[in-house]
Amino acid sequence: MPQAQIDFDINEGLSSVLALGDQLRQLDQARAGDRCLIDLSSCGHLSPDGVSVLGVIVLDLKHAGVVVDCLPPIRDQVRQYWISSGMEQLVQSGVCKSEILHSGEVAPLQQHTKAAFSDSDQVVCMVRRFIELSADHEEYLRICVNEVIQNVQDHSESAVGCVMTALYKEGCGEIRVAIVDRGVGICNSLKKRFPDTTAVIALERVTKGRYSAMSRSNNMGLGISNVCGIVNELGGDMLILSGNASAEKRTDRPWNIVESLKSFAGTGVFFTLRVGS
Amino acid sequence: MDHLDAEGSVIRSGRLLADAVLKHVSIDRVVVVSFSGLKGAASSYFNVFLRRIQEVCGLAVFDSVIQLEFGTSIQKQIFDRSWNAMQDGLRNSPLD
Repeated sequence: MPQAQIDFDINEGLSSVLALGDQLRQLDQARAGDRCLIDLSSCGHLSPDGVSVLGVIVLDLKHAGVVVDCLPPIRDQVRQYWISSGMEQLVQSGVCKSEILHSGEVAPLQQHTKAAFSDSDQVVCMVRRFIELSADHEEYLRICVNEVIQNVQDHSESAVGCVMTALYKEGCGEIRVAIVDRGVGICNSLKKRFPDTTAVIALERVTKGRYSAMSRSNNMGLGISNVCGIVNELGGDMLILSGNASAEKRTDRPWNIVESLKSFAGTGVFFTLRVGS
Repeated sequence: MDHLDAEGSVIRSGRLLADAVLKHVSIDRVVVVSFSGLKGAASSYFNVFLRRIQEVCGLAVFDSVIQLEFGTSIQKQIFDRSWNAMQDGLRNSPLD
């Protein structure tokens, strides 16, 4: 039986997400009717980044007819996040039933297969439980979420769309949003129109803007660069993982776009926005 | 009057708005479009809206027959980027 042993902490950021993706790659060999096992019993920490990657892979496996068994984290705090993020329910039922779980500082996993204005509602509602979100900050947050999900719909060809989760960190007034798909990746999408595209060039182009696969008539190559502009303006962090490349933006630093040794199946967009005082 | 798709689709809403504007537009009348109250409009919404207007009457007359009102400065920024990209004609030539 294919199995993935996640016996390390899954923090926010590049190294954790790549390590997780690498472990979960063991499950790629599972076929319809197979069982597979994800063992998180020794996992000491879970982040929105990790949960979104796990979530979309579980959905993708279930979509392919694979039976997914999971040993959830044992440590209390990690177990609690496992439940509140919707992972437990996703593993058990194969769907994200966010309305049941919606409480606290977590916006639980939501699956999106079609882009709609309401895609950002849950994240905004979650932040509003803690602070009075200004009209500008609400708009920034909504645009970031909606741009990424629209991109998934237009370009990713992901059979399960994407999953999104978010976590509000009350102490620092920041929100971490993670949106991950299991599609063809930005490089493969852009290659159709720009054959010289490599994984690194693809991320350089989408962060800069004005490059689009033009998968649909509404595409102008602005979505990701709009998110980058907002994250930059609010002094946040951003990470994009797609295929064999990663793009990382830290506050007050230029983009670091590099080829990665480990390939990421699909595209993950993770960003932090400061929305509180 | 709102021109939003019943299911909230960003793309269909952009098209609906454009079609509503086109129904009222004429050379001697300015149509006022207000985006205030519309939350989280991503670039695709404005792209669809502008492309539809462009297809029917071109963007050259846009400023003289359509007046836009924005709810927030970031909303206007997102629109402006779509407008500029449209003007630059991304479809025919890769930029940079």
